[in-house]
Amino acid sequence: MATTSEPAQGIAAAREVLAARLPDGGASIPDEDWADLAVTGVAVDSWRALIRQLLDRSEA
Amino acid sequence: VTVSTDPCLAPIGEVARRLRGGELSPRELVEATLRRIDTLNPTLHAYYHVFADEALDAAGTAGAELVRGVDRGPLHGVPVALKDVIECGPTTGGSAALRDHVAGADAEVVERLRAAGAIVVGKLATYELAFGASSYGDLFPPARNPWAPELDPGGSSTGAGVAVATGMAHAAIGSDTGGSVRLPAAFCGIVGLKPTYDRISRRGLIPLAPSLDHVGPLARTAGDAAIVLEACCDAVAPAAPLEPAGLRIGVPWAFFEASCDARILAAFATALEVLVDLGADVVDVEFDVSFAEASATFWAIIAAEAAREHHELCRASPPPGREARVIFETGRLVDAVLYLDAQRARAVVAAAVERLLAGTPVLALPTVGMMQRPIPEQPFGPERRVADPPAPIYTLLANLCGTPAVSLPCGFDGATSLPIGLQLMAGPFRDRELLDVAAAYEATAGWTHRRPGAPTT
Repeated sequence: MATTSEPAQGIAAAREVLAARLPDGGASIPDEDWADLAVTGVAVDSWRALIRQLLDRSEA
Repeated sequence: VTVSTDPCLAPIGEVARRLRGGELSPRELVEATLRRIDTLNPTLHAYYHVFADEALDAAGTAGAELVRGVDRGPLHGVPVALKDVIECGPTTGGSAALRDHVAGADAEVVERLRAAGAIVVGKLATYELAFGASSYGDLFPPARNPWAPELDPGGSSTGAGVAVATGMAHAAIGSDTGGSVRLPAAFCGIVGLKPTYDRISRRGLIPLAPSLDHVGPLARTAGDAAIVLEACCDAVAPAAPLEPAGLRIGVPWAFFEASCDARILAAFATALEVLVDLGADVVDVEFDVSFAEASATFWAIIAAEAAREHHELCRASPPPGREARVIFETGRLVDAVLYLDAQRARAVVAAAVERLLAGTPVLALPTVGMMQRPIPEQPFGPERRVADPPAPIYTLLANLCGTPAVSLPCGFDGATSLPIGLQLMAGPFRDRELLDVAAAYEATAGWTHRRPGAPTT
């Protein structure tokens, strides 16, 4: 069963991963934006997969 | 409501005739437009800024020129308006971050409109920085759909769609990075053209994603859109004419059918029947790119380029709103390899479209696969922008390719009476010929004459 702390822990974990991908370590991003970035960060990875799928098919 | 003899709703060609025949003066036309704005704008919020005094002065000059025999063409003395990302006077981009910005010079498209005699009556509402959708919680009140004011008019050129649909301007200039001219055209029941890439200059446009950004006109008819287009850009050598009779029109069903609202599919199918009746050879075409792949390609590019353009603005006080800000921040997660792969994928998409256009010079598809939605109380989060499956915004295909695409009304939902848009695409620099096909369709379909009534809320 989910607990109320799990979303916060999930966001903190996502923040750590995403910040490592940013040139400034995410220092310029305000705290309140990280929950949204946890969502969009997943989307960026899905864009990468779909683009790769298209390129692989076109190059086959 | 149908179009009457009201000069604010008359086609530009008809207005031009009346202005030259002495039945109407530019000043009378601008005064009528300003009265209409006074009446409708407090409810519909299409305009951020109205240049009443400047417009009346310009109308006086335009009228004096006509009396002297100086004729600048069909836009001479005709009221037009600008999305507030086009530099001209106060230019906020609909953002608190730019609320005090005043343009140092007019955008090139404004210079061209003025040279053609058009009267700029004001600046129009936009989704924030041509991206973050409107809400009632914004600094600027959101523009409201004239067919149902609780609904969004489509964006990001929201005010342009509303102003043109209701006769608060004869035409407007918007920007279109993924559909921002064509979506409000579809949702407001008018015509919106995304021209060939850079056919209309982007100088003086607040950028969103430069490789995808286009400047384009919104008007009530395809003929009016053609008049504005020709005033805003240099002429090109005319291509072979496109006429519905005998024209092969391709329909890439697999690209949109699964994600499109059934009401829109029904109106689209009826529109195809009209084109067949006009003599077109409408054929199914195979398009080897899924909407999800095209959408992912689009999003990777727009996010990265918008981050490049606006990341610094995210540090402004106040910063952009939540939806725009988070996408600008998200763009920094698009690394160089992903951006370059997205551009390679874009070339694959463009080549696939080019192959289709070689066999069928016009492609037809719905403009957008969802109906108008309520304006939210508070700004959206980013979820809907990165949803899986992606939002059915079929307009983005032409932004990836740079080819011209026009949205025009193709019917109204029977239950809600809300307008539905048909999108037609053609090869590069066939903008004018594409509008000719659109004009032939609208002359037969007849939807152009249907206009929203006065708002009741």
